[in-house]
Formats: sequence, structure tokens, C-alpha cells
Amino acid sequence: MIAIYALYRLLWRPAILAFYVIFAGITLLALWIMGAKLDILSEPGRLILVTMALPSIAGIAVGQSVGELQHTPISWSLPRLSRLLSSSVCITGIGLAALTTWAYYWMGGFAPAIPILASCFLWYSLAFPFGTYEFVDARSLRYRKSSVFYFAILIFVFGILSTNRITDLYVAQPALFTLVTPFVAILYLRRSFATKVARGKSLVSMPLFHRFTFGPYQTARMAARRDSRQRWNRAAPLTGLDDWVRAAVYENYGTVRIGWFGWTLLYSVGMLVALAIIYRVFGHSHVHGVVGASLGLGLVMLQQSLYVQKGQLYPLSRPQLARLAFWSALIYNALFCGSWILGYFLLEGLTGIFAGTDLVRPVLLMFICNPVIQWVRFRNEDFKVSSYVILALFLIGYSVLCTTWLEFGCCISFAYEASAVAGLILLSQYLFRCKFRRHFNSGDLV
Amino acid sequence: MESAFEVKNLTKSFGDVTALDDVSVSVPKPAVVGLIGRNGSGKTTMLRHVIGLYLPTSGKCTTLGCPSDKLGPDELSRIGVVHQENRFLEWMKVEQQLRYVSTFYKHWDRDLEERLLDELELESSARVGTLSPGNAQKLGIILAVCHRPDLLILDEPVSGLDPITREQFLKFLLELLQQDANTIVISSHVLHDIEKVINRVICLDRGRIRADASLDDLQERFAEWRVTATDGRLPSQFEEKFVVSHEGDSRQARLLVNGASDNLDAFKAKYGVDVSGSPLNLEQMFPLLLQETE
Repeated sequence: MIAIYALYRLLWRPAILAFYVIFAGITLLALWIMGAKLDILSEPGRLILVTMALPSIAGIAVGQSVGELQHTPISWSLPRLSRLLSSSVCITGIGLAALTTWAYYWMGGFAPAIPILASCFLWYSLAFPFGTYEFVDARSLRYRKSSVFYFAILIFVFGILSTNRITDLYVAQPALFTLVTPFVAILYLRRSFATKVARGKSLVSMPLFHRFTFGPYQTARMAARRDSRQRWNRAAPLTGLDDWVRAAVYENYGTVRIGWFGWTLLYSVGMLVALAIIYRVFGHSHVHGVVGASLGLGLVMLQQSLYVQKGQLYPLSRPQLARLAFWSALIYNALFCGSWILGYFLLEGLTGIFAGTDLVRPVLLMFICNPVIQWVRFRNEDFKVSSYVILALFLIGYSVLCTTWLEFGCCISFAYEASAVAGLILLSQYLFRCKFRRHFNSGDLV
Repeated sequence: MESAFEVKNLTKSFGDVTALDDVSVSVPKPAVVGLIGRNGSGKTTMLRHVIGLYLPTSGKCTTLGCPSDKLGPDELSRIGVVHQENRFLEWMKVEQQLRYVSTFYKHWDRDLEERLLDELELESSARVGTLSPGNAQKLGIILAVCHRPDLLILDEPVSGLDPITREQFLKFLLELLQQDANTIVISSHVLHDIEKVINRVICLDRGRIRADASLDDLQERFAEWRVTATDGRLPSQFEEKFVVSHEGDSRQARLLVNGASDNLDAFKAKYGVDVSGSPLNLEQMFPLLLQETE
């Protein structure tokens, strides 16, 4: 009982619980809204989503909570901590594997139960160290080995073996999975609690899990970079909006060798290529465009922004800060959505990969809606339950609006549709600007 | 005379917590003010109002003649701040950070910057993210003073500095005051250090002003008396109200007194004692300031 308590005390707090409950809710609702079209009921869908993705996410989440404690100096001197945590992490993994195996059968799976259970547990174990290391304040291959290993296995299993051969393997070799896989999984899990590893972890800090965004992680990565390739050559004093936006770009992307513009293009092309691979696995569907665009663009809006560092006393008045916040958010949003649409047309023209799939509407709708995410990110760098509620509502609303638009968009004239989009863009940006003005006129800045 | 900043009936609440409760204070130019108080007494909150980061729940705050919520580039360029928690762009080198921040200002004293880098022994090629807390504080100080501000706000500026650097920094503050006649506000718990440079003390406790007086006045008011019995024994308690603390035996005692200078002769005569008095330093005075109005 004590062993279980050691882990669940870490998980049992409002920040973590709200995170899980709300995002589980979003996942279920999104699946409910799009379930029929997503093809998740096919065997590849079940294997990827239920036996790999869900245990992996659970492993990362548990790993992150455990890592938060392991990466503090006090963890080294807490008696029996490693033993208590390792046993509770194992028990949790087995419980979650049983749950996901049940979900697999509930969704119509037919592979033998024990191999499924064992592989769920294995994915959980592989993802666990990923969670304990990936968010630490140090950038070194030493701390990234687990994620490299995880992705190598992922690519091998789903890229090279393919899902059909995995099912065949489950049916043909149940004994292998029953005897070997859990043993490997437990050994791999226990490595994260070895004395040498625990000592090393206690010396490297990790930003707190309750941080709402990945900001501290990004900052830590940037801080660890050896050399900045960008120089700041603006003449003093900075006076115009153009200067301040450049300053904001420099603050946030000063270490990116290819600059903010290059990074945006690279990210967009990378995400579109990933989307193209998903299309190859699942086949073409408008819904994939919705999911791809919302994940790709939503993620980047949450990760970064162009706003100058909060709390610093720059010689900028509150109205000037409001203008800077609005324009940097708009420029950021426009460049990302613009590069997605451009990349989409280029890839479609060159390779024909997206032929017949509408990605423009989901991206345009995301451009209209993004101020909501940008506002939540701007206001809440630390965790707030309300942020998750807003995000949950946002994703549900976006999914419903986008699928509706894709269904009825073809029935209305282009001129009408274009003017409606233009009007909505103006309205959303106007409201966003009012929000910033109000905040900077009447709110505390730190 | 324009005051550096003026706070009138300032109240600041965060939900149910009242961080500042009807605070009024006016700081003239030039002055070196020590803002003292226990942890959570409202010092940082007050300073954040002065520089316009916080807005009052009620009351008014005026800085350099301008309401603090309306501070524009001209006024903000005349203010320098060292924050309690230094947050810089960690990926930059010290040199890059200095060049970057300097472009926001019309005037930036490069000679002063180089001198301070040299005196404070801060490596300009060091990466900001790898600086020790003390060195980060040195960088914060350089960033706050090189545009020659009229109002310099220092929120816990010396806590991370070693004794030698602390001494150098305090000397530099005095020099700055003589050259530019600025107003400097130092919030600190290292009272024996700031005592060397300040000429006025504002003491906050639980969001309220407990004392606002010149250091000279306070030193005149609070004193330590070493009392020796010349004839008989000392009483176990002294009934005089100005005696705020008493320790010792029947032959000798150490008294802390508040506003007792006029009563010295009468006290000697009453108890038949010899008294040697000395002023209290700020650290000794601090608990008495808090005790005084409780």
C-alpha cells in the first residue's frame, strides 16, 4: 500500500488531475465527434491508438510526475524512495495495460489477450524514462537517449514491421510475448531507478510539471546552446513597432540558426510531411486535415510566441506593450498558417499527396480561432484549471465548426464563403486587440 | 520640488490577501531610502506599483510626476530596476544582453558599463544561463544603472553578493548619488550594509507603514544604555515606558530605550546608576520598529 501511495501522492493533486480529466474528456469527445470517419475501429487503428499511443502517453505522464521528484536534490536523501517509486510505477503500468487491453477488445480487437497486455506494458515502460528525462533543464544526448531509443523502436515496429505483421506475430508467438516482453519491460523500468541514475537525476533540475506551456523547457534548451548565430544590430533607441517586434523575434528565436522565418517553414513542412504519412496509413479524409491542422498549429501556438519577456522594465508604456503583444501574436499566427497553406499547395502540386483533401479550410478556421489559444498562453504561463477548460472547449468547438464547414462549404458560393472568412478574421482580430488593450490598461503585468 | 515617487492611500489586494493596506509615502529627490520589513510585508508589491507593473486596488501612485499606470517611454527611461528574482534571456552572453538592452535607451553609458564589468569582475563572454546567482545579480545591477536613471529601485540587490563585492557596490551607489543626485530605493534584509548608504528608512509590516523617518532621527530615538549600579542593586524591572527591553543582573543591565534622551539625568538620579549610552544600528532597531506599534 505504501508503495502505491508513493506514486499516487505525486499524481493526486488538482493540477495533474484536472489535466488528465479534462484531456481524457477532450479525447473522448473528439473521438465521438469524428469516430465514424477516423477509421479507429480497423485493426491498425486499434493497435496504434490503444496498444501503443495510450500506454505511451500514460508512461510519459507518469514518468513526468516521477521525474519532477527525482530531479530535485532532496530525492537523493529520501530513504527508500527509488524502491517505493519503482514498485508503484510497475504496478501502475500493469493496471494501465490491463485497462488498455480491455479497451482494445471493447473496440473489436481479435489478437490474443496476453501478447496485447504485454505489449501495452512494454510501450508504457519504454515511454516512462522519456517522461523523466525529456523535460530536464539540460540539453545533452545523455538525457535524450531514452527518447531516441523510443522513437527507434516505434519506427521499427510500425514503419518496418507494419501493423498486419505485428498481429500475425501476436497470433503466432503468444509464448514469446507472455514470457519475454514483461521481463524486458520491468528491467527497462528498473533502470530508471538504479542508484547511479538516481544520483545523476538529483543533480539535474526539471521545470515544474504544473507549468502550462513548454516555455521553460524551450528556454532551457536555448540556454544550453553553444553559440548564437544571430546578432542584434539594431540602432538605439528602439522606437517603432517594427523595432519592438524584431526585438521580440530576437528574444524568442535568437538561437535558432535558420531564424524564425526559416524555423517556421521547416516546422510547417515537417508537420505536413508527417500528415502525409498519416494519410498513407489511414487513407485520405477531410477529418485528417482537421486533426492534423489543429494539432500542428495548436501545438506551435502553445509552445512559443513572439512576446518580449514579461516582467522586464523596458521603456515601453502600457499601450505600447498592448500594441506589441497584439501585433506579435498576429504576425506569428499569420506566418504559421500562411506557411501551412503554402506548403500544402506546394506538396500537392509536386507530389499530389494531398489531392482531394481540403486543408485550406481547417487552417483558415485555425487562423480565426488561434487568438483564443494565444490569449490563454499569454495570460497563464503557470498552470490554471481554467486554462484547460478553455482549451477543452476550444478543441471541441473547433472540431464541430470545422467538420460542419467542410460538410456545407461545398454548397455555398466562393464569394460568400470568402467574404464570411474575411469578416470572421477581422472580427476575431478586433476582439483579440480589445482584449489586449483591456488587459494592459487595467491589469498587473507580472 | 518634484518627488521621485508618491504613494497615497495605496491598497493592493490579491483575492482575499491584502498586500498593501492604505499606504501613504512620499520620497523626494535626491534621497537614498532603505525599505525594510519582514518577509511578505509588502516591499516588493510597493516597488512594483512605483514602476507601474502593478495597478492599485485603490489609492494612487505617482512616479516622476506621472501616474504610475501612465508611465511612458520617457519616464521609464529614467527608472532603473534590479528585481528580486533576476530573469534574463538565458541563452545570451553577458555582452549580448548588455547590447540588446542598451538599444532600448537613448543614452547608455558604455564607460560606466565597462568600469562596472571590471570592478564587479563579471565576465562579458559568460553565458547568462550559466551565471551563479551572485553574478546574475551583478548583471542586473549593471543593466539597471548604465542608462543613468533618476530613480533607481533595488529590490534585494545585495543578498547574493559576497562581502567584498557588496562593499564595492555600496561605494558605487554613494558615488552615483553624488554625481547624479538621484533617488535610490533599496529594499533589503541585509540591514547593516544598507545602513551605510541610506539616509531615510521606511519600514513596512503586514502591508502597513510602521516607520517613515530619517535614519538620524531614528538613531537619536533608539539607544542602548549600559547601566551599572553604583549604590545598591538594580531593580528586576524598570517601570519607565521608554525602556523597551531589559536584560542583565542586579549589578549591570543592558537596556534598549525609545525616545529617552531627555530622561537620562532623571533616570540616573532615580536609580543611582551610571549609564553609558550608544545609538542602535538598524539591525538592532528593526525589531523595535515592528514592536513599537503592535
